[in-house]
Amino acid sequence: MPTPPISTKTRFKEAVLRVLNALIELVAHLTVLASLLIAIWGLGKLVHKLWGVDDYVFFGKVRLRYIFDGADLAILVGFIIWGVYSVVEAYVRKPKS
Amino acid sequence: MSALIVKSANRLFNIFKVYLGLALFGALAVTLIELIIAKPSAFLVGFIVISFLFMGILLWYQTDKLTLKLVVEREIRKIRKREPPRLAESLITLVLPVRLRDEILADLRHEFNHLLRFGRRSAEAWYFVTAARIVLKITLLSITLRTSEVFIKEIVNRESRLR
Repeated sequence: MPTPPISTKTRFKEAVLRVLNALIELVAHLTVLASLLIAIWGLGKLVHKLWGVDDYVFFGKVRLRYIFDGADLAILVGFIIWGVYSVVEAYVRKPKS
Repeated sequence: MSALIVKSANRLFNIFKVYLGLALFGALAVTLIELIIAKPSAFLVGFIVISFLFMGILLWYQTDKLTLKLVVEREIRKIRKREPPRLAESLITLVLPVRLRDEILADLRHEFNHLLRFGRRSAEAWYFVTAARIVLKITLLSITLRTSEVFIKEIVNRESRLR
């Protein structure tokens, strides 16, 4: 049985809802990402201030700055993969009218 | 509205958890890489020790889980699940004549196994109802036959006395 044609108004409404969903998802990801990056940056500053050294080296081998950089990198890579996927998925998913 | 807020907060919290996990993972990974670069031999020894430890834990868990007793019990339970209810079967065995017993029980068992696909409870219920019907019918038949026999004997006796 053929499906009945969808009106232009319904299509437009659906497209707007899809974009809105994707935007909400993107804003959610960016908000969390920004808060975490700021928190890591703040933590790094605090630790450096508490230690009184510009770049502390654990066991004479591991630089403290690298640990924070690693956390930043993992978050950004995670956003590029999972964040983009979530946004696209939110756009593709059929919106609840 | 409150449901929407709760849903949004939940989604935000989920995203936060994932990114926080990634951040911790990144920090640990960098530490590990730094340590490997600094002392590869120490890392190799640590890796081997941890691998063996995990292997031991997994093996212990598996052997503990799959003891012979548990396996036997599980198999017995599986077989019992396929068996029809004992009480109903015993009642049928008690009532049926010996020459018919095996055939009827085999048929019922076959039907019971077929019905098990729809659930054990329904199969058991069907078996109990069928058993009750068989017991009732056989009992009624037996009583009727016995009464008829007595009645016929009485008539035959009366006939012979009259002659």
